[in-house]
Amino acid sequence: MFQAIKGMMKKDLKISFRNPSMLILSIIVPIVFIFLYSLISQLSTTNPVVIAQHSDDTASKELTTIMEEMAIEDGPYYEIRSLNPDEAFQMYQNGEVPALVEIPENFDQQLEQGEEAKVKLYVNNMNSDGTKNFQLRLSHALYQFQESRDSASNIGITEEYSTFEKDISMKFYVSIGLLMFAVIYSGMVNTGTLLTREWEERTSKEISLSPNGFVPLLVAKAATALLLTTVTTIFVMILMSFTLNFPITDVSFAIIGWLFILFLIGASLGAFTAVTIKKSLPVITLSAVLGISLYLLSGNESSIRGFAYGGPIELIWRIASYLPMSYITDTMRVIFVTGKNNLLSYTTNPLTTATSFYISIITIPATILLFSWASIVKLKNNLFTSGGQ
Amino acid sequence: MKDRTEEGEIDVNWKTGYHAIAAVNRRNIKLLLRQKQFLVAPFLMPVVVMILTALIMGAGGDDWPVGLVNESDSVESQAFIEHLETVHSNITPYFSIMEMEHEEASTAVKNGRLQMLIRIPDNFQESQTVFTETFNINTDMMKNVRLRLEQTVLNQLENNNELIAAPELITEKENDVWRESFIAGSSVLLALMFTATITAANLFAFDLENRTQKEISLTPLNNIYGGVGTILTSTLMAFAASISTMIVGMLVFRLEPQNLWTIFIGIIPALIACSILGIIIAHLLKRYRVIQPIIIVTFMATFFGAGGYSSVAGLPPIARSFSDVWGFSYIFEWFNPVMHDFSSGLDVSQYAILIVVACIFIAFLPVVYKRELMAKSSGGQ
Repeated sequence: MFQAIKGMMKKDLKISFRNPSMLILSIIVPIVFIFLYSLISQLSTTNPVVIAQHSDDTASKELTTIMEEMAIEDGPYYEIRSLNPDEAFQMYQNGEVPALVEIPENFDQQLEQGEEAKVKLYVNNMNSDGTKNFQLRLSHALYQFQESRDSASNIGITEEYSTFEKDISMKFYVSIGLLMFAVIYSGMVNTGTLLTREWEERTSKEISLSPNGFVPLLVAKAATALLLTTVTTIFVMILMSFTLNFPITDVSFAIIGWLFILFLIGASLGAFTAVTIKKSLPVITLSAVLGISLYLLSGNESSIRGFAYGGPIELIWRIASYLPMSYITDTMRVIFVTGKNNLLSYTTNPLTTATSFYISIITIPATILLFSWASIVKLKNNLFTSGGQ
Repeated sequence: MKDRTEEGEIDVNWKTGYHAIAAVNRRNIKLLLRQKQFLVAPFLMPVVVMILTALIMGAGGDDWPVGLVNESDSVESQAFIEHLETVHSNITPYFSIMEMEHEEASTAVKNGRLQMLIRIPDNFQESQTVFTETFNINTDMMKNVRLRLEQTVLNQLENNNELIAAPELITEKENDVWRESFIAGSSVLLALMFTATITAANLFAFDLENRTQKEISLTPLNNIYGGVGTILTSTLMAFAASISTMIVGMLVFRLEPQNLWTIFIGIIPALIACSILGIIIAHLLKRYRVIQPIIIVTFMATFFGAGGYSSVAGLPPIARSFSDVWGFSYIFEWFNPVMHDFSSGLDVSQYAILIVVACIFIAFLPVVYKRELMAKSSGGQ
């Protein structure tokens, strides 16, 4: 059996290196998606804006400084593209920026006379998300301005408990979801296309007739796919360390272990898809659709959990919460954030509950075993339907 | 138009050309209906992206579920609660109070089912402070919930005439386009570009892999008619895929598309360019199992990173610079305002650019088909 696995792996690796299109593909696709997706990772933090600061009086300068300096771990809240009123209005009208903040000309004077000054926010409201984000950022600036000018009347907000000492960086949060996507996609595509190749190159009959059974075939395909997926994963981690500050140096054995489990899930899904469809085109399409969908669902489960009440979003969240990939993704996040590798209990993992922990203990091995077993059954059935080969 | 025969060149009247293109188009449509695997990505992908993005990133309105515990019986705390309940964005209230019992709300925060618990202490009147507990899963969620609370404070101060500077919102149009409708609109544009590109690429690669290119090259007509037929099929499929995406958007995500004729007619040059791009990709990469994932993932990533999810002007600097050179982002930028009636149509220079781009791609088409003729692709036949 070992000889059969070795022989099969040798053949597949030789074919892969002789015709590296599939190998390149399994690397390029996640890299393209991750590169372009990481371009907008800053979107939730920093919004481009222009400020029409008509006067250089103290109050105007103070408010502008607040707007320039307000920031969170991922970056500043505003990317201020101009402070010049004429240029600001021109840029806003030309659609070069989606919003403009106008500080009134006699801001200082209005404040001294006790008048309520109005800071105007001009927004292109073609997307309500943008309107809300600009409104909230200006509110934050004015809240801080109030605090610095008249803290006595302000209402303080004190945080008495938070799950993590520091808010998890959005870039980091996104990077772990994307890592999960890369491993699942790569595991599916590599295992799937290595198997469909046997039908497309008309060698499935020979394999069906092998006295070793189907287990060596699946193991060999998965082992070759593991090597190819490892290459992809390393490339993806390097890319994300530049674009999303992914902590590549903190990758521990526990993380590698979880990535291996993710690969097994991807490989079993890929094997099942391949032996069912027997054509690489739909297998690749399905892997891309499933990979991106899993990123959106499982990669964001802990994030959407807090607002999934009623309607389709609650249904989506409930589905996501049962997927083993959600638990694994969040566990990897906790390992990176806390540095604790021993998270095989729900009490030490703040991102999971007892229910989801026990469900995952069942669904992780069940997914791998079920799809692998189903692949073998399908392969056995194919023995009698070799399609003319 | 001059065409080749074994004897040399012959004149082909327009009728012959028309019939050739119509025949290729008819064959392509039959082929697509028979080979349903080619229809999965164009019809499924934009809808999947729209549903998942609109639900997960859009999630309806702006009302954020929180827990609220009031331990004070003062007038001030009642006023604060009133402001919490009424503070709103341009589309919905900012908060939805889900739990008012301290223990339950605190447990919900610890489990991540609520991202914030706001506690008004019994001495609120004197302390002028509220306390929070947070499930700080990431900075984006925390920004959303904390900044909403600060807006509530500003409203309370304004009501008490204690606010020294108040925000005043001035928008382009009276009503905002809901985030989910914006995403749905972008998905329609995505369906147009994506379907035109991937259908053309698949049809071209299918002809290559099934050696139909050889038969086409042996007809007395120029093989470019095959290309024109493929462009026609791809454009028609793009309209079909966009209409199905649009219907889902209208039924589920409040999409109210405007100026549809302007969009569908105005985008034709872009669809021709996309179809030829698909043909060029297929000509270079040959095999559809290689082409397919590259096109799918590039377009999906384009949707997120270059104007589909958020307008280009609102993107981070690196994404703006990328969008400047990434042609597809202009389709989102130019047609989204038309779709949501923020503009009644493209201006003359935008139409001119689209036509010039289409002409440039059209100029590449004979080159591709000439190269195909010269390529040794008989594959043993």
